Amino acid sequence: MSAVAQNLVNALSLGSLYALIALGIALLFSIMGLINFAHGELIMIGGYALLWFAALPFALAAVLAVAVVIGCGLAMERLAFRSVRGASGETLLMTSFALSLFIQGGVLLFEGANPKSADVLGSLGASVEVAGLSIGKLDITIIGVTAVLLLGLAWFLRRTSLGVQMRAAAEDFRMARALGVRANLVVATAFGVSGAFAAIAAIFLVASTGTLTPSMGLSPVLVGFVAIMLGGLGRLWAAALGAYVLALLSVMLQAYLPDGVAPYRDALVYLGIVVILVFRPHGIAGRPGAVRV
Amino acid sequence: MTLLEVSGLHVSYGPIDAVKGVSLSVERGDVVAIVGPNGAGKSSTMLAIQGLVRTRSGSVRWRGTDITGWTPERRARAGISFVPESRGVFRTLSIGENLRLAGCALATGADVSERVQLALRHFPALADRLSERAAVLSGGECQQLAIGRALVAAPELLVLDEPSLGLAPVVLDELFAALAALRDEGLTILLVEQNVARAVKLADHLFSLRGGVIERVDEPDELLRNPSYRAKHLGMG
Repeated sequence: MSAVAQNLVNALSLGSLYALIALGIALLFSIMGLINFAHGELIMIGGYALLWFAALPFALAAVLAVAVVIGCGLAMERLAFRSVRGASGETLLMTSFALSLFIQGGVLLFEGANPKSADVLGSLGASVEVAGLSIGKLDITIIGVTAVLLLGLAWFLRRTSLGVQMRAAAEDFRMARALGVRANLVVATAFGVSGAFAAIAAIFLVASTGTLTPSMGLSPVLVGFVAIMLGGLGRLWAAALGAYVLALLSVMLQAYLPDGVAPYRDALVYLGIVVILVFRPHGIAGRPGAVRV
Repeated sequence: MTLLEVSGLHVSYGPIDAVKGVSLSVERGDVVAIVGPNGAGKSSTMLAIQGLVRTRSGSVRWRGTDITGWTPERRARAGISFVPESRGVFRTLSIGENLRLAGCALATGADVSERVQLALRHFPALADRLSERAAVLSGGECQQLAIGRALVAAPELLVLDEPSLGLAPVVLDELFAALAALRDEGLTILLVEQNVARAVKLADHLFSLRGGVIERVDEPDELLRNPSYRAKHLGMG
């Protein structure tokens, strides 16, 4: 019993990290139909930013890293995506691909290809005993911070004027503009929030792995896409749900697969996702044609 | 005073010319109706006025200023409120959120709640349902919400594209009574309407659009006095 609970906590922690990544991607998709491959590079920049500010107290370094990534997200919007806004999904996707390679190349030039190690949140390496379970302090932090961010995002979208404008823009961008919703403001806000989520995901990711490479954003961004497809396109909370389900599948298979089969864990995770999508082609909570926040 | 002046407007969708040189103007306080068959270019003209389609040539002037290159949101803020043929109601938002959304066309610091209350005076049935999702509304209620929402923006010009489309006759009576009340309050209205009999009773000027060009301009009073027009278009002997 306690082993199951232990695994559930691990799944919750991993799912929180996945959810932050998936939401950062899903937010931009719902507002402007952009599948942003360069989201992984925002995560990567967040990781390196932690290294650049490593001499500062962690809280300050974290705030600066978040600010840097938000700045990069806004710059991405202004320099790369604004001129192709309203273009087809393929054009947006290719633009994000190009941007992703460009940023990776740039960081490679300055930071080199060799992995760098970073000690982030090392103080949270210890565990605490809760009800007979040994839970890492880092896991508690990840779960708690993510919960606050998800609730904060929900509050923002439900209760603030700008949030309602974003929901309207996600449903019908043209009509929202005809009512006076400022397209630039809404899109920039989406990029800003997406950047903030990417930066916080980067902090947790680097705290868990301790290493940085210029290509470190690829794997998280793929996980984010899978979580979105699994949860259901077009609804933000579904993207978060998909992230937690994906993490649950992953952690449970890791824990309970017999040793001989364990190396095939990822294959089995994706097999499970394929099976789910066969029965729910639009994702667990998705509906055909529904694209909304 | 001329509020809106459209001159030589051309709108194309790829190789198809939808609007081929439409010119019209709307004076403050007037109700101008555009009538015509399907495919005449009525909706494209409306969309071009709101900046939702690109114009190939020609210009749209608003209170003397050329706004042809303005974004839709800038036009909304300048005082043009648009109700599209589809109503443009956000189904995932509540009725109240739909109404308040139009407040973003108001100047910063404007009292959106007060504007919502004013708009609800025209459509009191919505007032008790502000927290309900707009998806539950019927066609007629959607139209009420769409027009009420347009009023929240304190428009100088209300642009309506086919407001009567898909509505039952009894609902139409209410809708046109509300539009007549708005006209009597002095609101300037530009509407596209296939229901000529309704348009004639509401409008001060009637533009007939066909094949992307304006075929004729009429004064409804004269039309109503013309027996052959009455028989042909209004079904009145």
